[in-house]
Amino acid sequence: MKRYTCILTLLLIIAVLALGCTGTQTSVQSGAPAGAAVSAKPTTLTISAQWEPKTIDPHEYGYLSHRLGYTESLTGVDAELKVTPSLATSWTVSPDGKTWTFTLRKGVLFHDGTPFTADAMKKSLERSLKKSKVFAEVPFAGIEAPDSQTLVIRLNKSFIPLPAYLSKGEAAALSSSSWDVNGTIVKPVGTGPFVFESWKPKEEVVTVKNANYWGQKASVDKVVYRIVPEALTRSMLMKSGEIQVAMIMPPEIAVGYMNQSMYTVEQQSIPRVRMISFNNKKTPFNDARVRKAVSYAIDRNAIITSVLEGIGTPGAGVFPPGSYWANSSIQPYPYDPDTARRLLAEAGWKDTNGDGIVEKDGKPFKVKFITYPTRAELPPTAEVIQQQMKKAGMDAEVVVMENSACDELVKKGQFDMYLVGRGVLFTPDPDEIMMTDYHSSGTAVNAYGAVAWNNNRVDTLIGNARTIDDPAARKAMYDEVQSIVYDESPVLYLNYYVNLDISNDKIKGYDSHPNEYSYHLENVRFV
Amino acid sequence: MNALVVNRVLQIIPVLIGISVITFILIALAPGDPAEISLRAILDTDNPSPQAISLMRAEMGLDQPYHIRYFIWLSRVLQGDLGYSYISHKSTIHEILYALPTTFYLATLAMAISIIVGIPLGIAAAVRQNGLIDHVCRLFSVVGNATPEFFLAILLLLFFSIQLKILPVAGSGGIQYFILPSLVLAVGLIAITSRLMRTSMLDVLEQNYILTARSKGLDRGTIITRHAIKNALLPVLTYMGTQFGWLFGGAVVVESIFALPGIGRLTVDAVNTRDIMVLQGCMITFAIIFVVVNLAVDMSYIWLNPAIRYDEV
Repeated sequence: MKRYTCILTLLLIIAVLALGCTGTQTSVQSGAPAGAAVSAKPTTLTISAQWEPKTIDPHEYGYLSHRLGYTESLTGVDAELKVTPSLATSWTVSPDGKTWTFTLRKGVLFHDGTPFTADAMKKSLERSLKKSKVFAEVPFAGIEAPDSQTLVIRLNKSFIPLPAYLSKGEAAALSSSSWDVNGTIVKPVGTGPFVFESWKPKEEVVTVKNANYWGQKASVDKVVYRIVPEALTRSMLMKSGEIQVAMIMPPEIAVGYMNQSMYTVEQQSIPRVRMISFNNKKTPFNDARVRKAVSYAIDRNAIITSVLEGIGTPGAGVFPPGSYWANSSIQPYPYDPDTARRLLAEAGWKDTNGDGIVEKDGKPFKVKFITYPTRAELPPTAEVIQQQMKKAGMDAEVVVMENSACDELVKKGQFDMYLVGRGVLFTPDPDEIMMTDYHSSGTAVNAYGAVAWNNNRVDTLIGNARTIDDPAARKAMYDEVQSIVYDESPVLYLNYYVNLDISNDKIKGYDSHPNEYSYHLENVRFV
Repeated sequence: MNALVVNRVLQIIPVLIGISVITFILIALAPGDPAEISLRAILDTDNPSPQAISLMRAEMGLDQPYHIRYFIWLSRVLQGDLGYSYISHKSTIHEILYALPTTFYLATLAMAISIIVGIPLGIAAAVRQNGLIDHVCRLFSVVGNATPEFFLAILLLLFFSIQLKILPVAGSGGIQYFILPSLVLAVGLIAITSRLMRTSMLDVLEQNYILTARSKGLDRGTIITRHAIKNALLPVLTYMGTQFGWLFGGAVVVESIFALPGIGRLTVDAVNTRDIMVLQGCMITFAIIFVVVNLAVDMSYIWLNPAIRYDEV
């Protein structure tokens, strides 16, 4: 009996130990459980998404610091995904495209009170180049600060997308008090409307309002950004009132919040497109008529209603409709199985044996259609397309495997169609996606875009667009590229991803940005 | 006894080498370029530039042949350097030590709940075989074992956090943040622990020494508490030991749902971003936990059943 009680005592000790240990863990200010109402002052805005900073150094991992607004760069990105002035008010480029001169904004202070000068920006950018691989493709030659408001960046060769690269979080202006003598980050000290306060890895980032901000000052006093990997958990946090904004919600959850007066569901088309790459080198998709036949055979609206809970816009080109770079004259291919069959017949594919599947030279139409499950909606989308193609006489075998396994098959040419979700304006300049997805130098080696396709006119246009810095002239060239791609259909665009952010009625002014460049929390206020 | 401990600690060396080789081979066999996959996470882009990829390949040492890479890593480990994360640029040891306590509390709490509930339940079910408790216990085991953690977590959240508003939904901090997650983990454990305890008890109750005790005239309560339970605990203890090890890697679903920064999430993130040094570090940590727990279980055998003498074997 004594030993038996001994076991029990031991168990109790373990339990108490466990409880005691958890108690001594780092204290959490938001310790108040569910339903704690936000008091009048000071106001704390709590928001949640799954994005997690891997390090707190903006020069290594910058996008979250821009989103939360404690850092800014020379340039910014607007809601049309165009590069705009930010810490630089204007810039010019020399005719050879190698010397860029930026005029810096006056009266800007870092969070530590030191002035933002060309010299400080030079030090900060030089550190960026050492820390991040984002700028690996930028041909930097040197950075100079001739006076306190002028920054000159010299390149080895012309590189028109430079301002777009400088908008990135990794190019953030940081005060040199942000790092120690070894160059290791101590605390990010930027210029934004919010001041970084603390970070708990995989848990939260806390910022406070910057009362000395040069632009629109924040209304809320404090922001807690909670890292919550599961959307369902973010939904629970929303329902319990622990957070005011739940970001990046899947449509099946978001529909439950629609038409409820307490909540607002913000829908934002983002520069990420669901698309099908064809193997343009191999029969049957080496014939543009067959590729277009697939496009006509697909009912894009039906995919949106049946797979995406009705949330999405049918796609015609690589950029979403709201973006400056989208060619607004091209419209999504309509659902037209008759035209699909006619195009197939023109290409020599006819159903001669009456089994419902077209043949050519005695061989039935059968293609390998690959996709991956990490984006959960892709396999069901592929299945819907498979059914739709069958109606037009085309047989597709859907194969679902891991993303990188798909990429390898594509690089080996062992596929016919590849359904992917592709982000297109990570750097807010079209040059990158044009080069990788359409230019012959990219299509020869990449697993995405117009695989193994080339077009001389497209190569010329993309090449020329790299030599001028006038956005309107460049847009005209990219518009023509998009028209050619639309007509030739080496890639088929289905629809664009939509970010769904839910906010509750305690706040006003939350507006999501198409590539989440910034959450613009300075516009948010409690009602 | 001391020889046993030394023996066990020495045994860990081939185990660690074995799992590190397997981890290394699995990562090498995984499709895709690790440098490109890591960069996608670091740069938050789908298409890292070729220049960035070649820099990353050099940093990760991917230009070296596989076996050279492994031996470079091994020689660093032997000098006590587990490397650093390619993603966060923090040392592997820092990453693991940051994540380990959370999972440790979670696993310990879940284990404690399952012992406190599961073992008495199993005993009660065995003592009143085919009685009401036995049937309820059986039903609970089937349902508990068959309910996915994800589903159970959502149910508990809806009830305790949304309806009653007495527990926080997610995050870490005080004990209140660990109650629901450990409860979710414990349900599956209780289901098996109680069944195992019941079976083991029934087995023991049929042994000759129980018959002897009964023929001596001991009352039923004394027989069960003094003779049966201790012997019946042996197989249950072995099971609990392995489960405790499993909880460290297997708590990943619960850690994700409740947004806890534990080692399960660290491991899965390391796999997804091909953060090989952190992954190796996690695997080594799991192996050490398993060996230590198994050793503790073996030690407790001696205490529970003095007939077991390892040094005589």
